[in-house]
Order: sequence, then structure tokens, then C-alpha cells
Amino acid sequence: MRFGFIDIHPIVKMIYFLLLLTFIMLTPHPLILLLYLIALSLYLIRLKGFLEFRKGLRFYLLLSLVLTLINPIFNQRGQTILFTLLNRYFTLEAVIYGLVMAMTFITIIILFQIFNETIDSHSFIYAIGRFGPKSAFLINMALRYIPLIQKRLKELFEIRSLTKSTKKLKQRIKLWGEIIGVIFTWSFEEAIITADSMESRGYGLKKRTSYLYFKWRAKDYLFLVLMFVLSFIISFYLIRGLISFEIYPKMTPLVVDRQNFLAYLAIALISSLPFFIDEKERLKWRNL
Amino acid sequence: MAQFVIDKLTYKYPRQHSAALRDISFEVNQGDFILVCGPSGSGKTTLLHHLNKDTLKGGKTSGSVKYLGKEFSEIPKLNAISEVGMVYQDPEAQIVMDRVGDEIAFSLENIAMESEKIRVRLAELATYFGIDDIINKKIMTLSGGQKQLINLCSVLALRPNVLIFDEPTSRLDPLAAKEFIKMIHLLNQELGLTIIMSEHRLDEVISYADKVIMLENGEISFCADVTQFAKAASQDKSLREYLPKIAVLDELINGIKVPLTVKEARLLLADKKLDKFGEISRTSIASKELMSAKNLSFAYDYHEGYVLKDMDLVINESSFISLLGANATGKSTLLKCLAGIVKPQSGKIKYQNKKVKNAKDLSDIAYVAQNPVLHFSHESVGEELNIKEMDEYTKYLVDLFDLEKLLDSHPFDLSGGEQQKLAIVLAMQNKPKLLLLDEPTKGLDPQSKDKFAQILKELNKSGVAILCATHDLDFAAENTEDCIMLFDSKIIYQGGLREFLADNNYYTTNINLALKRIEPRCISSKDVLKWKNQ
Repeated sequence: MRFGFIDIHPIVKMIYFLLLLTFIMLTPHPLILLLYLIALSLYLIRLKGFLEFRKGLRFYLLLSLVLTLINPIFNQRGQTILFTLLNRYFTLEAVIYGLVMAMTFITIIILFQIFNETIDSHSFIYAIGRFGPKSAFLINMALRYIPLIQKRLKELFEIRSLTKSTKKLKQRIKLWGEIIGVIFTWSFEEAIITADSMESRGYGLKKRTSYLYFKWRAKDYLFLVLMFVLSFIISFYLIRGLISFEIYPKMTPLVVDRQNFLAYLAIALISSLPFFIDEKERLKWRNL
Repeated sequence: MAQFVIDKLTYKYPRQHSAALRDISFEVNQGDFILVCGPSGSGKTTLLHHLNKDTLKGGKTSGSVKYLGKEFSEIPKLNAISEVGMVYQDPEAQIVMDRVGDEIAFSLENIAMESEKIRVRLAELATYFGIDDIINKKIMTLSGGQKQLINLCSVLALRPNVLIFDEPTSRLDPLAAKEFIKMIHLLNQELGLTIIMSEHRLDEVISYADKVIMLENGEISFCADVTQFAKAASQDKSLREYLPKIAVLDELINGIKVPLTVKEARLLLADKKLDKFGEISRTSIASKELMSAKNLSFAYDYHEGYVLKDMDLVINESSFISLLGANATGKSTLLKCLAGIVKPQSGKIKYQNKKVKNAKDLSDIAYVAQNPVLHFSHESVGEELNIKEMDEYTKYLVDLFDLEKLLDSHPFDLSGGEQQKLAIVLAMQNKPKLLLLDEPTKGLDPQSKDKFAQILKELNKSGVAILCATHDLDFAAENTEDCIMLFDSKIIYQGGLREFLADNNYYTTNINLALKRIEPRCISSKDVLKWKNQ
């Protein structure tokens, strides 16, 4: 879908992702993380389709299992002892701590996937270019080199595997060394021409401008306002400590009550904002 | 007033004994189309760099290059860059940005133009060149010809008066090259831009150019307009190679004018009485089968279609076959399949009467990729060839391919032809019976190409079968007797090249086109010379 959230102004989108990232990292709270996780996963499924999402699912489950299990092995703090093994305590608190860690991790991964799907290189460079034009230029150049070098590596491997055996680890390491050497020589050789071509086209004569341009529209401002209002509510609760979650020494009870209900609502809303916008756009198209 | 006045220009690279350019003097007028030619290493690139707002670093220059009466050092840099623009040989290396639009806007962003103005100029260029549909594409996904067009656009964005091209088509296939040259001709005609271009492949360019400058060892050996050049070159053996292949028909005509295009040749041949062309016999008779493939099918990805579909082919011992076909018809993929680099999804390959089960059974086949650089991994040619433990056969190859004097050079410093030769020697070291080549003549100057063809024939005579993917029909017609033609991921012809071309009316050599009505069996300059001397 090329409309909806994807069509929002790059700077607004960038702020949105930054805010969400901060909130996710600042609230290691199982219920809240679950809210983020559900809302963001739903949106990712909408973007990529369930089949694509399912491909990553196995990795997420494995990762959360490992993170949840590893923490109790090394961490013996906590009051609720589940069992003892080889003179070590295994506590419920440690398991939950591991679980929260895993959830934070996966939520952030999903957030980044959404970022990847909704911000293309132009929006990214435009948004960054506002604050650091030089780094934006550098990123743009790098964007070209990463796939280019990947392609060359593949070609080199194809040829080398013909003449050289790659069975033993030692041979493989040697082959890698060789190939990286060639890539370096090749790139430096090319860089001379690239530099010539850049100079010939006036690079470095003046402070660069950018031709990229994104219009600000009413819906961008609306998104911005909604986002800030919700963020304000969440920050208020965060600072007051009303949605904090302590594990050690004693676990905070997980309840939703009148005191913090609004915070939960705001979080649910802010993380499903992209979903709502897409939905609104979809309805508009159906009515045509 | 002349636009460029080059007066007694001499230039020496740092740490080099002899001068790269010596006493170069000529003038260029607004709107001229000037062709700079000469063998590799004759100083073409060095000269062009001097005309491009001094981008040469270091070295010693004497004499002067004046643009509209001023040296470049006297012109403010900001003005200079919008007067002269340069497009380089390698389409990939001169690109800076990731996407087409960014690349074209690059120079305008550099001179701090306002963003609204840049967008207008971008739209203007994209519309004029018909590239508006690829403006948001990643440059990496484009073909070589499209990349070179983007490079041209990004230079034109600054609205230069002079365009300098350094062998712009040498990395392109002939069709893309033709398109590109036509585009340059259009710029010269419609906009009156001055074009200064160095080029090996004169077939397409020469009829558009006004003046030819021939460089040899850093000196101008010839400087005249095109018709004079054609006449002089048809007499002089060393210059002859720079004329289009079709100029050889002059031997049959012996007229005042040397034909440079098919049309001219046909007109000149029309009222000529020619002797009958004698019998043509094949030099080699088909021998034992070396390799065969049956129902070979291959796709890179489950979701994409077949690149090769149900292909049957036979390669006989010591045969020399050219593999023809347009871009992206699967020529490279077929070679990779036969070399064991990629595994076909279905089909049988037999090599030396044994069924091929895995890549190991094909390990003694030599394969040289389109880009010879992929085969190098050491600091010098000597190390590359492991000269300390060189066996008899490698010595023979080094001798045959004339690499003796290059043993101390870095493989990346060699010319295109030398790199190609080195890559072949490397691939041939364990005495294979079959050599697979992918576009080996791309970017070779005519002299090196002829020498290269002779070496390949020598190798072929010693019993090595060669299958050579090529776009260069003249090369194929002169050197190979059989061909395989790919189309729509299938083999649509395998057999004698002469019969194939004699029967074609469009896809054939220019010489054959000119002689079509008179003697369709005549396909190459060798045939023409044979005809004359019979």
C-alpha cells in the first residue's frame, strides 16, 4: 500500500519511530510491552502479509525462549523459588526478568522492520539531511556500496570455488582473506575514478543543497499533534512512576486500574496509529 | 575564435621517465565532433584529462591548453565546471549516488542550486532522454548502457558547452554502444555541443565525426578530417585497423572513396563486375564429441522463469564455437552451467563420454568471466602465475600469450586486453580440453583484438575447444566456424556460422549486409581478402 502511514511526512515518521523506541526502552513492563508487541505485530502483518511475518516468527520465539531461560541460570535473585538444581536457586522473578528482556528485544526488532518497510532511502536521507547534511550524503554513498560489494563478493566466490577447494576451515579462511584483499584493491582502484568524477562535477565547491522535497499537509500536522498529545500522557505517567514495574526485591503486581488506565489507553493508541491511518485510507478507496 | 587551443602540450607523469604527451598542438571549434584514437597506452586518456579543467594531479606540464583564450587556472572553478563535462570509460566507477535522480541532481546540489530549480532541471533532462520511468530506480539494477546514459545526464545537468568522452562504449555491448553513440550525435547536432571523444570501436562513430586525431606514443601522428583519414588509412596498414570493418570492401572496389557505411558500400558496389567467389571449405571437419548437454534447464530463483530451457548442445573436440544472442538471453548463465559454477535444475551433461554428477567432474574446464579482475588475487602477474614453480605448459602459455614482459606489473595496472590474457592463462594452467570465454573482446582496441584472436586460434589448433560468448559478430565471423544462437532462453540454432549469417538479413556483419545481393556467403574481411586474391 502506497498510501496511509507510508505517505506521512518523513520527519513526522522519524519522530514517531524515535518516540516509540524511547518509550519501549523506558518501560520494561510485561503488560505494556505486550500491548506494543500486539499492535506493532498486527501492523507488520498488514505491511508484509502473514506468510512473510511467519518466517520471522520462529526466530522470535527461539530468541525469547533463550533469553528467558538464560537469565535464571546466571541470576539467583528473587523471592519465589521455583526449584533448586546443583545448589542453585531458580526463581520466578529471574524468569520474568528474562521474559521482559526478550519482549523488549523483539518489540524493537519489529519496530525496526516496520521502519524498514515504511521509510525508503529518500525519506531517510531527507529527514537526516535536515540535521546533518554531510552524514546524509555519506549514508547515501554507503547505500550504493553495500549491495555493490555484496554482488562482487558473490561473483568472486563463484569463481574461486571453481579452482580452489573449500572443504577445510583453514582453506576457507585463506580464501576469505584473498577475496577481501581483491575487494579492497578493486574498490580503491575505482575510488580514484569516483573522486575524479566527483571533482569534475563540482563536489566541494560550495555547501551542498538537496533537491529532495516533501510537502507538509494537514494530515501530517494532525498526525504530529495526535502523536504529541499521546506522548505527553505517556510521559506524564512515566515520570510519576505510575507505570513502572519492579522485579527485585519484590515484584510489582500487574494490575490495570483507574489510576493508570489512561496510560494503557494512550500506549495502545500511539502504537496503533499507523494501523488506524492505513485503515482510514483504505475505507476512502473502498468508497470510490 | 577557436574554443580550445592546445599549444605544444607536453606532460610527464610523476616518477616516469618518458613523457606521456609530447608536443601536442591542435584547435577545436564550437560544435566540432572530434575523435581521438590510437592504441592502448598512447596517451588518449591523459590528453582528455588535460582538456577537462585540469583534474590531473602531480606530474609536469608544459605548453598550454586554452579554453576561449584563457587557461583553466584563470577561470573561476564554478564557471569552469559548467563549461566542460566528462564521461569516463567505466560506467560503474563514476557513479556516486544510489538512485538515478540523486545521481543526476548530484552536480547541481554541489553548486548549491535551489531545490526547486534542481527539480525543474531534473524533470527537463529526464523527459528529453526518456528516462522518467527509471528516475527512482537504484542505479545498480540498470544495464551498462542505461548507466552510461545516467552518467551523461548527470554531466549535462550543468549545461556544459563541451563534452569529453573517454572510451564511453568500451564496456557496453554493440547494440547499447550504438544507442549511446546516436545519443551523442544528437547532442552534437541538435544542441551544437562540442564533442571530444576517444574510442576504439570506430564502426559507429566515424560517420558522425568531423575530425580524427591519431595518437601514437604520446604524439599526434595524424590529424585530419574524416574523409581524408579514411583515404590515408586505407593505404596505410597500421591505420587500417582503425577504420570500420566495412572499409575492407575498398579492396574489391578500388575506387576514389573508401566506404564507411553499408549504404556507401552498396552504392559503390552496385556497378561493379566482380569475379565469382570460389568454393569455401571448412578448415576443420567435425571430430569426436567432447561435451554434450541434453534438456538442460536452469532458473536462478523459484519465483523467476527459466533462464535456460531444455537446451541441447554438442561441443566437439578442438572446435571453436561462438555463442551469440542478445543481452540477458542466458549466454553467461549457460557458460556458468557448463563450467559447473551453477547447477542446472534438470538435464544431463556429458563430458568426455562420462556423465557429469557434480561440479568436480567439470573441474578441468577453464572458465574466464566477463570481468577478468575476478580471477586475480596477488600483487603481481608473476605471483599470480606462481613463476617459481612454473611447469612446461604454463611456460608455453606465458610465451603464447606474450606475458613475459608483464611479470612484475600489478594485475590491476594491465590494460583490458592484457588482463583478459592473464585470466585465460590462469584458467588454462591445468591443461583443460575446453575453454569457456565470456565476452573476451569487450573493450579491446583493434590491434589487441587481432592479436588476441590469433592467440586463441593458436590455442585452438593445439587441441583446446573454445566456446566463446560474444556480441561482436565481426570477431565471430573472422575466427569461428560454428555458432550457437540463444533466444528466449532456448537454443534456436546450432551449426555453421557462415550458413547462419548467409541466411540472416538483419543480424549479420556489415560486410555481409553490403554483399548480401552479390555473395551472401562472404561474411568477414578475411573472406573479402581471399576473394580479391583468388
